[in-house]
Amino acid sequence: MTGMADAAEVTHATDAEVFAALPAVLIDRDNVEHYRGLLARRLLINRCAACGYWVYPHRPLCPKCWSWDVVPTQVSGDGFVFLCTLVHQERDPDAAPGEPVSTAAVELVEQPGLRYLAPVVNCPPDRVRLDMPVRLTWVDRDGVAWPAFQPSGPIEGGR
Amino acid sequence: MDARTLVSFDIDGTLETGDPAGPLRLTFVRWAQARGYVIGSCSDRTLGEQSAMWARAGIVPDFVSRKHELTAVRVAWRCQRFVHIGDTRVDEHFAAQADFEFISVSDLARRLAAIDPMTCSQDSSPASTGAVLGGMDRGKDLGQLG
Amino acid sequence: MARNPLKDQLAVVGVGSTPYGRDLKRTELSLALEAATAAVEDAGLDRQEIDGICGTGMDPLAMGGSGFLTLQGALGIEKTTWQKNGWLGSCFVYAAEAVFSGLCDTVLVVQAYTRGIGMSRSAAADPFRLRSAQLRAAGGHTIVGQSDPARRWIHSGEPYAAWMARYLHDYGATKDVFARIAVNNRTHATTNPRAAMRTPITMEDYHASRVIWEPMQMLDMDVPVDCGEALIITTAERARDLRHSPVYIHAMSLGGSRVGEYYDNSLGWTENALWISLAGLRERSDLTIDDLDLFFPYDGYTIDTVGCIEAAGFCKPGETADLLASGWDAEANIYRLGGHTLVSTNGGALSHGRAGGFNFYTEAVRQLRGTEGERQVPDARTALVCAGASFFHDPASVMLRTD
Ligand SMILES: [Zn+2]
Repeated sequence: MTGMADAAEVTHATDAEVFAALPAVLIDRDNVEHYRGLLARRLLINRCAACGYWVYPHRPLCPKCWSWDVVPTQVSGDGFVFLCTLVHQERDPDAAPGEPVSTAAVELVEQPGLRYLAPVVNCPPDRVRLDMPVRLTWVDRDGVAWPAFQPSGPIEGGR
Repeated sequence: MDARTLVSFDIDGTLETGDPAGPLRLTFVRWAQARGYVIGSCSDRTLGEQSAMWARAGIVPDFVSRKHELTAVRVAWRCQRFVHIGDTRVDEHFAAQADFEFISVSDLARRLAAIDPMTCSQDSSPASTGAVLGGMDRGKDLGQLG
Repeated sequence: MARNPLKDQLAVVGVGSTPYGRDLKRTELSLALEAATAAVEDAGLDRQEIDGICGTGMDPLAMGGSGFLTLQGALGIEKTTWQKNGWLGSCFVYAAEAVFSGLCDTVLVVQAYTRGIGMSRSAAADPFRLRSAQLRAAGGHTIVGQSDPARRWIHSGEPYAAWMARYLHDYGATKDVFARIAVNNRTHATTNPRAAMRTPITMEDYHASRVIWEPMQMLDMDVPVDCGEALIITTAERARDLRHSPVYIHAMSLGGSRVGEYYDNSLGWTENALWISLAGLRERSDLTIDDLDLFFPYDGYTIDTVGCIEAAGFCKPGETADLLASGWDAEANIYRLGGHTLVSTNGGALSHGRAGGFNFYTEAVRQLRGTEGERQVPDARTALVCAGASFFHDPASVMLRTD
């Protein structure tokens, strides 16, 4: 991936460093650990320590058992493509169309319905298939490593 | 090779009949057609809607095209020069994709207003329409190419 | 004396409060959840008995705070038939009237406040409060969605495109199902003098239109317009004394699921809020879809209409393509459901214009009054309106009828 030496990895950024690295992201006390994890290239999702339920989007209370003991926990990074669209043009009506970019809701193996939204990379956009198995990787965007997913099995032919 | 110039007009935000109305009056289109330009429209409106617009204006266009199919216009007309006039980056994108010169309608409107207010909706002092597109593209007068 | 039909009809059965502090280092949501869980426990209720929520704020799409979209998901409440955001003293009244009217039986009202950066120097120095204030001032959710790639499907059209793909994949349909919806609505719009788009289109026009979010195309999307719509509601008794033949509200239901925001986590095709709303309506209505003369499914995107048709029960999930093909009138370029129900007679949001579905109500009322002259649907007596029926939040189903 471009321009991200491993040496630049921050293992435990301070709050101030997280804010500085992600100037336009709505960081709050319920999701700051997630973003601190991203800076260390770890995908952390809140998990209930009482019942084991993965709590995403990031909230401080387990929606299953109402335990407050919710702990940011690293996921395996394995999943499959549940929803995907190829974005030809951004929502801004004056945005210039570009090469289609995939935007996929990847269902993580940890829990049914637990999905993370990210592009599918290392795969031609027109060969992204629903239910295709994928694995976490990282892509550079504005100098920050963001989660992405790539095929973890063979890529099917073009349509 | 056809020595003529083909001018493709975006509609919405470009022509006075667009929604939103653009700064370019149909007088300009009629003038271009009378001067021998190949003219037509290229828009995200359906072909039927584009044809209906031209019919209401009493203009018989040489072509109508969907916005993302400008390349087919280039293939169908073997003109010397291809120009697309529009108002958005989407226009610019598809013009470039089809190897058309792109002219921003707001730039064009400013120049026209200084020459002949009949061809655009901005008021200015009247003058000759002869040099309208001159200077818009590599300093050439589009009229000379027509 | 004013009317007071709700006298002694309602009661407060649970309360919950959090600690108060100048800097609790918690999110507004966290405080809201603590108060909410405390109130439910105080009442001794099972949380799934809650079927109505009033969250905090004036923005119906508020996210990241303690609006109803967030609260329902965060509290794990599966189904609600009434939701609203409100504040100050009035939110209590909204909630009470919802219960009194039968839109829900047990309503949870949650209000949470945090110290804004304009309220104190120490609050202004808190990076968490500062970031929140900056982004909200700059447009809130839009900024959030664009800056974190994982958050872009908040109040976004892209997941509807993704659901189109999922629908085609799961049910083996072709895009003709969407094309027929686009053509039907445009055909009706050609006779509606108020419609923004009145030039007929063909199935071919649909398929040739530009792809924006694959597989969604230009003609799958509604047309943004400037417009105004209004209507007046009064009691049935009073209505009978007025000029027009009354159009009665026969039944209503809203719908909410525990995934009202962050659409990537949406529930299955038949589990989203739209289906809850239409199920809620069925439970409240003596009229069924067999009685329907007019149907106004939401059509912000064509896939919304597919969802409304199936959730209303015109066919089983995945069978809309066959239903529209068999109900297609090739001469008129429209479809009918069940052989007689006309759909989107104003042209819908796709062709009349985007009014949040409010133009469905006004069209339905005019048709049911029978005042529409050449474009009048003969003998129209019942209409089902699914205005603003998003998959994810705020679907409203309303059954209207005349005598
Ligand atoms: Zn739990």
